[in-house]
Parts: sequence; C-alpha cells; structure tokens
Amino acid sequence: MSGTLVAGLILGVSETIVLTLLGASWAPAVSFGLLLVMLGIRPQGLFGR
Amino acid sequence: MKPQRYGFWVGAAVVLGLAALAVATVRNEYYFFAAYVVVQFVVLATAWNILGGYAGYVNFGTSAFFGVGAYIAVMMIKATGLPLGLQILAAAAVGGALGFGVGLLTLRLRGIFFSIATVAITIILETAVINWRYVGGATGIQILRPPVTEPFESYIKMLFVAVVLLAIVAVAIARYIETSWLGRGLRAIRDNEEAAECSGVPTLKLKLLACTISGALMSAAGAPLAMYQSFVEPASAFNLTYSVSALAMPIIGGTAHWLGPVIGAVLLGTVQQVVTVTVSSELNVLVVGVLLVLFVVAAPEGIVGLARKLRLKLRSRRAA
Repeated sequence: MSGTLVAGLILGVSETIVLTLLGASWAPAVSFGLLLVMLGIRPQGLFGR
Repeated sequence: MKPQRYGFWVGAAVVLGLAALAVATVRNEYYFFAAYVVVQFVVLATAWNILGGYAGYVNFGTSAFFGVGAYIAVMMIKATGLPLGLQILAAAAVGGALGFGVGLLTLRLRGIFFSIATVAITIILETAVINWRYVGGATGIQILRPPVTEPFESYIKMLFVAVVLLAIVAVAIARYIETSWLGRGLRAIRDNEEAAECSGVPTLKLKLLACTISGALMSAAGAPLAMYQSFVEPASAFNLTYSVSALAMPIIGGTAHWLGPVIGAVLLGTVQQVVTVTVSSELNVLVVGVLLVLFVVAAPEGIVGLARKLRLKLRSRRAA
C-alpha cells in the first residue's frame, strides 16, 4: 500500500516538473511514459517481489 | 493442388474485379468514401487478429500504429511528395519496427498488462505528435492532393483501389500464417505459453514476427488516411475508437479463422456507415459496443463459430 503512495508522489512531482519545464502539452506523456518504462523494466512494480 | 487452395485466390480476384468494375461504372463518389472506411477496417481487423486472435495477445494500440502510419505519410508528403505506394511502404516499414518494439514488451508482459502497455504507447505517441510542429502539432495539417494519375478519374477511387489491394494482401498474409507452422506455433502460445516453449516452439521469435507483421499492416492501413481526409490531426488519427473497432470486429466475426475479421469488419463497418448517414455519427460507437457485448456473451466464437456449429448440427441430423 505504501508503494502506491510513493508512486503517486513520484508521478505527481514528475508531471509538474515536466509541466513547468516543457509545457502543458507534454504532461500526458509523463504518467504513461513512466508506466511503460516500469512495465518494461519491473512489471511487478517498485516494491513488488 | 486441391481445388480448395485455388478458392481463395479466385475469391481475391473476384473481389478485385468487382472493385475495378465499381470504379469504372459507379458515378457517385460517396460510395467510395464509405467503402474505403469499410475496407480499411478489414485491414485493421485482420492485422489485429494476427496477434490478438491467433497468439492471444490483446493489442489495444491499433490506433497508435494507425496514427503512426498516417503521420509517416504526412511527413513524406511534406518532405518529398513521394507517391502513395511509397508512402504506404514507408508506413509499413515504420509500423513493423514499432511492432517489433511492442513484441519485445511481450517478453515480460502478458494479458492485461500487455494491453495497458499498448494503450500507454498510443498516448505517448499522440503526445509526441501533438508537440511536433513540423507535422502540424495539435491543430493538424492540411494536405493538398496531387493530380490524379491516369487510369483513375478521381483521387478517392484511386485510394479505394489501393486499400482494396492492401486488404487482399493483409488477408492473404493472415491466411498463410493461419495455415502454416506459424499459426500452429501462435495457437500453442495462446493456449499455454510455458508448455509451448517447453515443447520446442520458438515463442519469442513467433511473437516478434506476429507483432511486426501486425504492426506493419496496421500502419499501412493508416497511410492513405492523409490523402483520404486531406486533413490530419492527432486527436482523430490516434483516436481510441480505431483500437476498439479493430478488436470488436474480429471478436464479432470470429478470431479462429481468417474469414472472421473480414466478416466482422464488413458487417460492422457497413452498419456503422449506414447508421452514420441515417441516424447520427455518434451512434455508431454504440453499435460497436452493443454488438460486442452481445457476441461476447452469446457467441464467443463469433459468426464463423456460429456457422460452424450450425453446419455440424445439420450434418449430424442428416446422418441420423
């Protein structure tokens, strides 16, 4: 459950960073990009075993 | 050769002949605009079925491949102005490469997670195109059709013939895969991937091949969109309804046989076109949804499965 909390924070912060640095039109790609990278590298999730 | 083997090619020649006849005789261009969409869905549904039906990997990213195909065509028109055939080939090449990448994802992802990953790819690619000024960005791009080349009298007729040829190629490839060692391997993957790998089926090679072929065909189907609409924008080229339709059509027609996606696409595509004209353009998404639910609940093997069951019943009655 704490994993969800951490992931939520990571997603929110990274999305806001991209939003300010690159502009609002890039924001949708952030969450899905992170999702895709995670699915590719660690399908069980950050804290999954 | 058995006569049954010729049957497919005779059928393909008849379809091509009918298309040529229609191009030569029918004056009203609306029919070609409508038929183009139907045949385009035949290509998409057949391509989806190569991976989704035979191998059991549900690809929700048809619109990603479709949009990539459309934008490759846009890029080529802007940069070089190469003819339609080369646009389609280039789109197929890029779509194949993208499909290969999606195929690598199947190394780690199965079932629902594979589907989620393909949706993510769609949204990432759409966002990238929205931010890409050269191809028009979020506002889209207007395209001027070049003058028509000789045997055709209007551009839409040429696009129609191109998409019919593409559909025949797609169905021929799907049919070859289904009847060859490729299809047997993919079916083994669908039933039980571990068991298939253990019995010596080269699962990764087969999955990569299926993803590449499927992706190439989907992108090829997207390439003529630029010329068809003479206007392309990301929201419509990457629209998720393409994914939903490309998934619904094979399921309604039947995923086990190459004829299934063709039947599903022709049936659903035609109904959608008729509904768009007679009732409203919003209603045609509802048609897909209702039919999909009906078939998943009542006839999970689709129209082809229903027909097979009916034939078996008739035969057993005759024997009794």
